Amino acid sequence: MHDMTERLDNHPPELIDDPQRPDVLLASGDWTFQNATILLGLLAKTVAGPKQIDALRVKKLDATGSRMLIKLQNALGLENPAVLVAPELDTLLQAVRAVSGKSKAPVDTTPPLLRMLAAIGSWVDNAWHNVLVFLAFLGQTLVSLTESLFNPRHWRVTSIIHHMQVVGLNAVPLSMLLNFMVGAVVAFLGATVLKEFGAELWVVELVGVAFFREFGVLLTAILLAGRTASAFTAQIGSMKSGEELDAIRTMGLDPIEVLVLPRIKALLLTLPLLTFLSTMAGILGGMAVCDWSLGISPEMFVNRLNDELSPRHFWLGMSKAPVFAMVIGLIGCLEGFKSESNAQSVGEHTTSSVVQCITLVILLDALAAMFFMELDL
Amino acid sequence: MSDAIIEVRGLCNRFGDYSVHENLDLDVRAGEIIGVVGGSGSGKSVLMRSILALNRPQAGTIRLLGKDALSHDPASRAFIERNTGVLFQNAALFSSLTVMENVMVPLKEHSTLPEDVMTELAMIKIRLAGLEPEAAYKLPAALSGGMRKRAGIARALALDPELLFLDEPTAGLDPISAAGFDRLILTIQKALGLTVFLITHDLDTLYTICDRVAVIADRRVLVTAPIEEVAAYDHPWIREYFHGPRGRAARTVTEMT
Repeated sequence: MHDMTERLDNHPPELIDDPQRPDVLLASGDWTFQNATILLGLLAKTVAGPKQIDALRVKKLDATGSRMLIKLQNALGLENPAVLVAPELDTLLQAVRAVSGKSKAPVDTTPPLLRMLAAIGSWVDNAWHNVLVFLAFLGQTLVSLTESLFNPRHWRVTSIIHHMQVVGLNAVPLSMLLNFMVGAVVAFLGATVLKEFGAELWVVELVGVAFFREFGVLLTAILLAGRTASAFTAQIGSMKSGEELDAIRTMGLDPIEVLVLPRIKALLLTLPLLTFLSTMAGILGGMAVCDWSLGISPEMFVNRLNDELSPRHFWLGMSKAPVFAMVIGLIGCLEGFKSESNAQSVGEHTTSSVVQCITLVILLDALAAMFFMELDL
Repeated sequence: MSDAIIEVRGLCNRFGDYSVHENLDLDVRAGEIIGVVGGSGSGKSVLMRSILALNRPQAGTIRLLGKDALSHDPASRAFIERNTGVLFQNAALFSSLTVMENVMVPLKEHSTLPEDVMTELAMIKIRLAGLEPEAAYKLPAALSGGMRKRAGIARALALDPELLFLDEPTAGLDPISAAGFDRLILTIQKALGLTVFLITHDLDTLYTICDRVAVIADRRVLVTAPIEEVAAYDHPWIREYFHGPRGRAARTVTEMT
């Protein structure tokens, strides 16, 4: 049996010309991975000449050390059996020799310009393909949605309620806090600018219009894009890599009906509710600043809102909530389906789903703003 | 000084009220292949995770290569990590890296060798594990289950460790691949002089390559001995395991060959 301490001690490797025998290189010490850097140094220093390598005094040899011995032999241009090792180490040396043949990494010989053009081409093709896939997915989901409306057995109420809690209820504190603070900031900005004209009272309209029409729904949608779309993608993506989607299909179930519809329905139901709460929080933030720094009391604030603002602003804002819910749900789920069975891909698609959702939400909001403006609403 | 390369004493592992190990002792000798068997949920993997410090036991000592495996001392941790290779049950290859890059991960972390030397060493490990050089540039997803496990072995061998841990290496392989994998383990162990800690359910593996077998039951190691002695041990689980229909078949085949 080996003694543990001796086994674990490290003996630096050496490589010298044998003083007794000319033409013989004498190797000793531990030829191991741990000493690989030293070994490379020794190998670099050897010059052609020796006819034999005597490694009988090598104490410890591992695969790395064996490879170094073979490299040395090749560098000196020696034929077998030019390397002598202790019999118990010979198996290893032979095993490593057997797998030491030359093998080259495949090299890409395409010119760089062509590769760049190919990359751009495949990017464009990919983008177009993504648009088609999104439209197909939208269509498929709408068909399933319509079908499930007439078929109470497929409502999956438990699942919907679960997602409503995760997507909606759990996001209430964060969403309200965010909107409250943005409401306060908008009021501050308004106050600073409007003071110059002595029109501080108009801050009420500013905060009201901003939150009823735009900020309430937009901020909530952006928050959910970050919070929910990413979760959907990661959930479905990891289910896909665990072959769970295939299991669903083989059981005769439709992944869209089982996974996508409950999520989208939950979003369609909760995003408007969340938007309402967030809008109120934003107004509250504005009201707080008005009371604190402009001397507009909450009663005055509410009265002025009532007198000056028509309810249509509120309904315009709310009308966008279901559209944003659809966008977030669809992209979140679709990116999950698109991811491949590895961690890298799930990560990439999660990022992509958040980026797409936020971009689309802001884009749609801008289009809607222009549309309603043209209609004089 | 003890010649045990792994020495477990009085190990206790509990999860909440559920106790997996109570006063478990185990010795693994240098240069042997030890097979660890036990029913599902008997704590084979927990034992391996404890030895690898992936799981902190409630009580007990574990010495690995003469060092305290449970200490937080960075030097002894680094020493242990450099000298142990692990093949997890599903190979646990990094899915976004090629086989070659997978094998290079530990090399890059633990050495300052030039890139081309590292590639060369990685290729040797990949071929020692029985993979064709072409497989080195593939992603794990493009490999079959057996090839993934071989790639996992290559990564475990990257640093030329003293100790190799294998968690159910033949699970999920067809019998021919499983037999091939057994031979591979034996060849590598003989050539590199490794100590192998092997968790398995596979009776063929136990009969063909294990020097000794440790049976975990009743929250401790019941017996550690060559397989004939273990099979003769009187315990309900061991009787059921070795003398059930599958056990008999495996034994007969081994006696015939």
